[in-house]
Parts: sequence; structure tokens; C-alpha cells
Amino acid sequence: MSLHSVPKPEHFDVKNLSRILLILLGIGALSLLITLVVGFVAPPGSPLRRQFAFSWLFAFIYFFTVLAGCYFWILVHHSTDSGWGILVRRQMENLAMLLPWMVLFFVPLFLFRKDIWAWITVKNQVHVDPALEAKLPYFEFRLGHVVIPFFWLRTIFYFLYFGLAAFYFRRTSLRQDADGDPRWSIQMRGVSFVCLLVFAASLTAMSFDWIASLDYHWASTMWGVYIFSGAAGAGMALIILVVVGLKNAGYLWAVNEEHYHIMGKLLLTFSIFWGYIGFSQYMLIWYGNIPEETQWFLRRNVESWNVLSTFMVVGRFFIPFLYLLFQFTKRNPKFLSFICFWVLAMHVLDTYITVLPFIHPTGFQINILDLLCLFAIGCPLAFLFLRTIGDVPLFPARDPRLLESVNLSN
Amino acid sequence: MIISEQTQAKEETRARAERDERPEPLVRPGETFRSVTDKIGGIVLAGRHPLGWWISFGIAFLLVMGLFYAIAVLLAIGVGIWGINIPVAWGFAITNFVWWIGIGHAGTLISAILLLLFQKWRNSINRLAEAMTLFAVACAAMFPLLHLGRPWAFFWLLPYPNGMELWPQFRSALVWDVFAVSTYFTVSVFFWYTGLVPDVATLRDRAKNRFSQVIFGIMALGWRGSANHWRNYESAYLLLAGLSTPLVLSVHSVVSFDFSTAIVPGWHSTIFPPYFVAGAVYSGFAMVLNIMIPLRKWYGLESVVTEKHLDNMGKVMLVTGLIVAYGYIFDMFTAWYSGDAAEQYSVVNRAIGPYAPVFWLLMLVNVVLPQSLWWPYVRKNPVPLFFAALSINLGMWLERFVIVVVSLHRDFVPSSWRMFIPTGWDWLTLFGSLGLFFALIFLFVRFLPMVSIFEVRELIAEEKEGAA
Amino acid sequence: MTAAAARRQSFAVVAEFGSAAELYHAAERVRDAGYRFWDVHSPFPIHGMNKAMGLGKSPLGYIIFCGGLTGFLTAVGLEFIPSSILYPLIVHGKPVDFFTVPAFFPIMFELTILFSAFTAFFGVFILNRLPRLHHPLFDYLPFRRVTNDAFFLVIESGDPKYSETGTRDFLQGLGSKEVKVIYAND
Repeated sequence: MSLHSVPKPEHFDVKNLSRILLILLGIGALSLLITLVVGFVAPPGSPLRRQFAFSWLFAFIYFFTVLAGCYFWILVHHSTDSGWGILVRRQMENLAMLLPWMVLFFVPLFLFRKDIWAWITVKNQVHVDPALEAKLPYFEFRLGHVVIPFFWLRTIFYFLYFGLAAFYFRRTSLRQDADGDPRWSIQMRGVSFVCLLVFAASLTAMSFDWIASLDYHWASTMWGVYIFSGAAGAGMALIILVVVGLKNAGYLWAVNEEHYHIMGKLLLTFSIFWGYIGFSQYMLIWYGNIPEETQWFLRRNVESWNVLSTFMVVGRFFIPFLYLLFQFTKRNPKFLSFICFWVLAMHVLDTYITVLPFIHPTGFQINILDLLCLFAIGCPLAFLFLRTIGDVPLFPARDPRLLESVNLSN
Repeated sequence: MIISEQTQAKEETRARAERDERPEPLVRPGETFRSVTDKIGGIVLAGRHPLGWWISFGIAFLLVMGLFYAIAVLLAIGVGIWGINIPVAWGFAITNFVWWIGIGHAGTLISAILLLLFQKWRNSINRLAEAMTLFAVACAAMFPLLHLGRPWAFFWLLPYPNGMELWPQFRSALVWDVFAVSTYFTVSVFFWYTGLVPDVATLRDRAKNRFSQVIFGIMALGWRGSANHWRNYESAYLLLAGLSTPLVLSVHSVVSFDFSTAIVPGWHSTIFPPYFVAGAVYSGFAMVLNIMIPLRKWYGLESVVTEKHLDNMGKVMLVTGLIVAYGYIFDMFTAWYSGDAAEQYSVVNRAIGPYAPVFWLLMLVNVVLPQSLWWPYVRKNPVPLFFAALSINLGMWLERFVIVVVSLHRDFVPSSWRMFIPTGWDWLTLFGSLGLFFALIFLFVRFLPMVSIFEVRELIAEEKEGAA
Repeated sequence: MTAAAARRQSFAVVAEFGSAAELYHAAERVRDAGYRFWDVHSPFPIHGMNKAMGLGKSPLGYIIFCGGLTGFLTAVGLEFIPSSILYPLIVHGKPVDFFTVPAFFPIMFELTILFSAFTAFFGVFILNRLPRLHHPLFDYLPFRRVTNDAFFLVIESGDPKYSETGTRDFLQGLGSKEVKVIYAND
């Protein structure tokens, strides 16, 4: 069955969703209220305040990495000039458009910075930890008499970059919807190359800034790649879920099992990639046995953390790997969306193991705040996504290569 | 908003024209099943070879003789004839090993990964790339064996039930190497031979003299091109590709473990596995180009290995080159950020130490010059592309030299620092291995089809369908 | 030689077709006619031919999976038996129990791949009943072009519906360029 005419643009009808939107807004607002009140009421230095700060960081990192992963797939799509995914590209763009909103959710992190990043308090002590003193210029340095807050400048840059780039790709894609000019495709291809370079640098630096610097002794050259591998896989899982959801709601009729198959393969690839990167990083540090390095993993393999870490290896790598090896699991939207939920859940676990051991060195304690923070960020994001999804056509209907995607076979 | 189909069709044509500035088919029009069979099979069967082949083979053969001489002296006297010492115990031998095995990887990558990604352009270059893998791995495997000092005891590396009831230390990265490299060689042979069978059958059916008929007949195993054959064959080929892809990644990762499991400054870096793999692909594609560009000229294969192929390979080199550059930058950054004095010194020592010229030459030929690949002119023209590839090959060898020698020669304790100066035997072995590699490549081109004929036929069949 | 004797010796009817597409359509017709012992021969794999011939998917994948599993278990035994049971030595601070597995993983992986590749390589030739250096079809000289640019459809005499004249006429009706009866000469 091959189509020779392009499908007509589809629009999402938000009206039927008003109830879901209301629920999302309600849960979001409630969780936001509770978490922020707890955070601000808790006295400075108290464990509760730290718990709030780290729970918020955990939720923030989770959503930021997933959305950055969605954005990454736009870049890959354009730079490899691929035709298969034009039907689903608009959803990547819509998801990436949530990245600019993340700056709002960063505000609590800025306010609670002293409870989160140890270097901020340590640098002002009388006797600065020599391990920090050596790398302090990475966080802030002096130019003459002016203190340059390098860390914060970078943070501003990440938001500028991710925000502007996400905005650019969707706006250009929408322009093409209006005039159908193929030159936009060519322009986006060129821009995506440059954006990929900046993406690699930003994500690496970001993973050091926001996550690795929680323990400023520790460094691993693989760290940026590790964060990236988790983000790209989780991003793909979210894209698949959105597409399956739209399809179930009666939209995107041209998407078929061929598209699921390709997206399933990409999810499989990135599950393997995550396993490869995670194994290499862990094994090399374990094998080298240098105290400054092993302490990172030691923290995550003592007490009950060990159970979680071991489970993550199985859950984030072995289960998706074995599950997605088969063809039918990749082609059937029900089976596929199950594993997407699973991967997103495992990404929660991964982020949890990355962030929370700093405040619970004696074993994990799941706090209600962890969950509430996830809702406090996730529900507003979902609300924004569903609220705006109807504003633009559901797929770039005048992309010159749309037919390639419609008639996909592999 | 309703768009008429006509406008859409017009837009599509325009987009296509703009997208591919020069719409370059993978096989030039005018080629038929018979003409490609004649063209590619004829190279083997006619046995007439251009002057370039004879000169190159002659040089390569002389180098092989040099290699044999160097090995003979090595076996008679010992590894002391090389410039290696303590602390630089690994010297040229391991540099060459890592370099060669990296070159081998592009062969598998072109064949396997591009097959899995439905990249049809691989069909014209995969055979040569696979052959290159085999010979490169053979050259690579030679070096650790020679470096053993007593190569005749190599089987001690293998787990076998022996009278002493001794087993290798399975936790040692060097034992992983033994498994990885021997698996890689075996699987590469399988993959290469499986791909070769239908084409050898072509040669069997077209050979004129009895001797070739018998030899090709035995090698073709009685291939009849039946649908049943093809069905299992395609499945096996795809699965072998699926197995080779993670294998390639694992082999170079294991090679990188040789370094990164140790705590030597400059070696203990967790990013080594993916960064080595990227480097391997980088140098491997460069080597494919260095071989393919002259061959396609000598044998008139421009209609099968088109500018589109050159362009694509150029792009792959550009991307992997940037990944390698990412590795350099974040390696240096993390060395500084880690606060470890020895790590920090190892970076400084690379840049301003006694081997500084090597380091800066590496940066020039491996990072700066390859940026010329951003220009389509360089990617699409054989001569500049050839030189870009040459520069990358040199660069990747230098990179391995910097990692092996420059890291080792100044470790933690200044009193044990020592320079490594390669001797004539080091150089002779290096160039001898190049000779061995090229001699094998030239013999391969002489005796077996260097382009996969049946896969090019598939391309022609598809392009016909597309045109119809 | 009587006609009856010749029929007993006839091996197959071979029909040549001009292109992959013609062969494809002929195969569909032969499949629908209910023949069982037949095959098509082409210089390259033809997309969709499995369906046209009514062949299923190749079983190779499952065989290779078993091979890979064997390789994996071999590696587990090979590494853990000497290092954890026979000689449980602590070397550079690594444990001897299960938690030493990161260091054993590379070899497990390599052997899994190695054994899978062995099964793939030998499996494909065993499934194809190769090597078989001689075959009656090779006596038919035009068949040599099957590895170049010719497409053949072969119905073997073992087929229950086979009859020398009937099958020949049937194949001729499918638009074949040339139909020929081949005799086994052994």
C-alpha cells in the first residue's frame, strides 16, 4: 500500500481534554504549593530543607534530561537528513518547546543553592578544601576585581541555548507549514549540525555543573556521555508514548507499525548504549580503585542503595534489551508503550540514584517530597504540552519529503 | 488548508533538486547486470593489471621482505632490539597494534552497521572494507605476539587444560584482549566469506580455464542462487551483521580497557571506550579511502564507487573526527578538573614535554586539517579527499603514540622517567606491517572480486524499479 | 531409450525468465498451481520472493539464539569455575564471588558473539544443503548465467504434480523465454 498524495494537516481538538487539563492543573498546583511551602518553612540547615532541595533537584534533572533527549532527536533527524520520522517530528518539536519553561523550575534551585551544591558554602570557608580550591575557577573566578560567576553564566547559557534552539526548530518547521518552501528543510539541516556540537558541549558541561559538582571531588570523563545516553533513550520513550497516545485518540492516521518499528529500534539501541556506557564507566572506576573516584559508586553501593543500583542494571538495560529484541514488541503499539513507560520509570530510578544518595548516605528513604516534586514539575509541563498541542498542526504537512515518511517500509 | 497534489509534486521535485545539489545515483546509469559482472569479475578473470598495481605491489612486497627480516632478527635476539625500556615497555608494538585494529573496525562498520541502517551505498565498498578488516586485524594481532618476547609460547594465553592445571587470569584486561581479538578475527572471516560465496559462484561460472573453475568451484560450495539459498543467506548475513556491530564496539572498547583499567596518568580515563571506537572508525574510513581512491581510478570503477560514496565517507570521517576532538577536549578538562597532580602533569607534559612536537603535529593532522571536510569540494574530489584521509591516518597513529609512549615515559615518580627512542627495527617493523597489509590487499584485488557483484546487481534492480 | 525410461531419468523442467519481475509473477502462479518441489534461481536476492513462493521466514534466528546461549554459558563456566571454585585467589583486591562479574563480562560477551557467529556461518550452509559441489542443474549450460543476469524457475520431477509435458506447457504459458527438460545423468 503506497500513497501518492500527501495526508492533509490534522489539528488536535483540545475541547475534549478540559477535564484532564483541570486535573493536571489541580495536582500540579497542589504539589507545587505543598513542596514550596515545606521548602520555605523548613528552617535553614534542617534535614527537611535539604530533602526538599534535593527532591526538587531530582525532579528537575529528570524532566530536563528527558526533554533534552527529545530535543536531541530533532537534531539527529535534521542532521542525518532522515525521512522516516517526518510524521512524528512535530511531536519532538512540541516536547522540546517545554525546555524554555524549565527555567521557571530552576528558580527554586537557585534559591536553595546553598543547600544543594557543596562548593558554594565550602568556597567561603576560612580553610577552603584544597580539592575545591584547585578547580574553583570552573565555578567562579576573578577577573581583576570582578568575580565572574562562571557556573551561573553557564546555567544561563544552557537555558538560552536550549530555549532558543527549540524555539527555532519549531518556528522554522511551522513556517514551512505555511509556505511549503523546501529551503527551510535545508536551512534546518545546516543549523542542526552546529546545534549538535553545542548540544554535546552543553550537555556535558551541564552534567558536571548540576550533577557531578554535588560531589566536587569526583570526576569521570564519561559522565557527560552517561547522562546523554540516559536522556536520549528516555526522550525517545516519551516521543513514542506521545505518538501512541495521539494515535489512540484518533489522530496521526498515517503513522503505522513501521514507524513504531524504527522508534523501537532506536529505543533498543539507546538501551544498549546506556548499558555500554554505564558498564564501562562503572567497571573502569571499580577496576582502577582510586579512592577519589570510587567514592561516587561506593555511596551508591552501600546499604540499601546496593539493591537499587543492582536493580537498575537489570531494569534499565537487561529488561528493555531482551524485550525489544523481538520484532513484534517493537511493532505493536501496546507492547511498545509498555516498555516506554518502563524506560521512563527506570530513568526516574537512574536520576534518583544519581541525586539522592547525597542526603541519605545510610540507605535510600523514599520521601513523599520526591513524589510531590515530580508532580510539581511534571503536571504543569504536561498541562502546558496538552494546552498548546492544538495550536499547531500535528505533523508538518508541507514538508517536501512527507511522503517518504508516510510510505515507510523496513 | 488544502494543497493541490500538483503543487505538492512540484515542490517535491524542487526540494529534491535543491537537497542534493548533484543528484548522484549509487550506480551510474547505463550499467546492467551483465556489465557490472563483466567489469568487476573481469578484473579477476582477465588478470590484466595496470602499472600502478605492479609498482605498488612491488613496493609492498619489498616491505614484507623487510618485515620478515626484522622478525627473524627479533626472534634471534629478543625485544631488546626495539627501543622499549622500563617504563616505556609498550613502545611501537602496542601503538601499531591499536592503530591497526582500529583500521580494521571501519571495515566491519561499513559492512555491518550500514547494512543494518539500510544504507545502500555500502554495497559498492563493503567487500574491500571487509577484506581490509581481515588484513588489518592480522597485522594487528602480529604485534602483541611479537611483543611477548617468546611468541612460541603464545598458547599460554588461552584457557586450555594443561598439566600444571593453570588458567589464565580472567580478570586481566590483556586476557580479554586475547578473546576479543581472536573472536573478531574469526567473525570477520565468517562475515567476509559468507558475503563472498555468491560472487565466487559468478567467477566459477565465468572462468575459462580448468584450474580457476575448480578452485572457484570449491570455494563457491555449489552455490546455485536458489530462492531458498537466498532466504537463509540473507537472514544469516543480516544476523552476522547484527552480531558484528556490537562486536566491533566491544573489541575496541576492550583494547581501550588495556589502558584505562590501569591507573597510569593519561590512561585512566572512563571515556576511553567510546572515544577509542570513534577513533577506530575515523582512521578506518580514512584507510578505506586511501585504498579505494587509487583502485577505482586504476580499474575504472568510478561508475560503481561514485562521488556520492566519497562524499558519504567524508561525512562519516567528519563526524567521528569531531567525536574524537570531543574526547581530547574533555580528557584535558577532566584531567584539570580532577585536581590530580599526576593527571594534570600528564596533559602539560604532552603539550610542552619532550614529545611536544608529536602532540602538536597530532592536533594539526587529526583535528585541524580534517575540518576541511566541512567543504563539499574536499569530500567530493578524490585528490583532496585522499590527502585528508592520509592526514587522518597519520594523525590516528600519532594519537596512539601519544597515549602509549608519552603517558608511559613520565609516570608518578620522576626518578623513573625515561625517554623512548624508536630504533631502526621499530621503524622497519612498522613499515613492514604496512607492506604486509598492502601486499595482501593487492593480492586480494587480483584474486577475488573487490566489489560485491550481487549487491551491486541489487542496486541496479532497485534503480530500474525506481525509474520505471 | 524408450520414452518411459527418459521420463524416469528426467530431473526437472527449467524455465528461463527475462527479469526479476517476470520471475516473481511466475513464482506466484506456480505457488498457486500447488507445486511443492520447485525453486527459483536468481543472480541476487529478489525482494518479496519469499512471499511469492510461499516460503516462511528463515529459522536461522532461533538456531543462532541457541548458539549464543551456549557461548554465554560456556564463558560463565570457563571463568567462574577456575577463578571462584578451583583457585579462589584475590587478585588486585577484586572479590572472588559473584561480584567480580564486571571483570568477567567482556569474555562472556565475546564468547556469546563467537558461538553465535559459528552457528550462523555453519547454520546457513547446512540449511542450504551446501557444500554440494555438483548438481544436475549445472549440466544445463545456460544455467551458468544464473550468477550473472539470468533468472530461472525449476520444477523438479519429484513433485507429485509433475509431468514432463504438462509442466513444460504450464511454464511456457507463464511467459518463459525458454523451457527445457533436464535429465539427471548419473
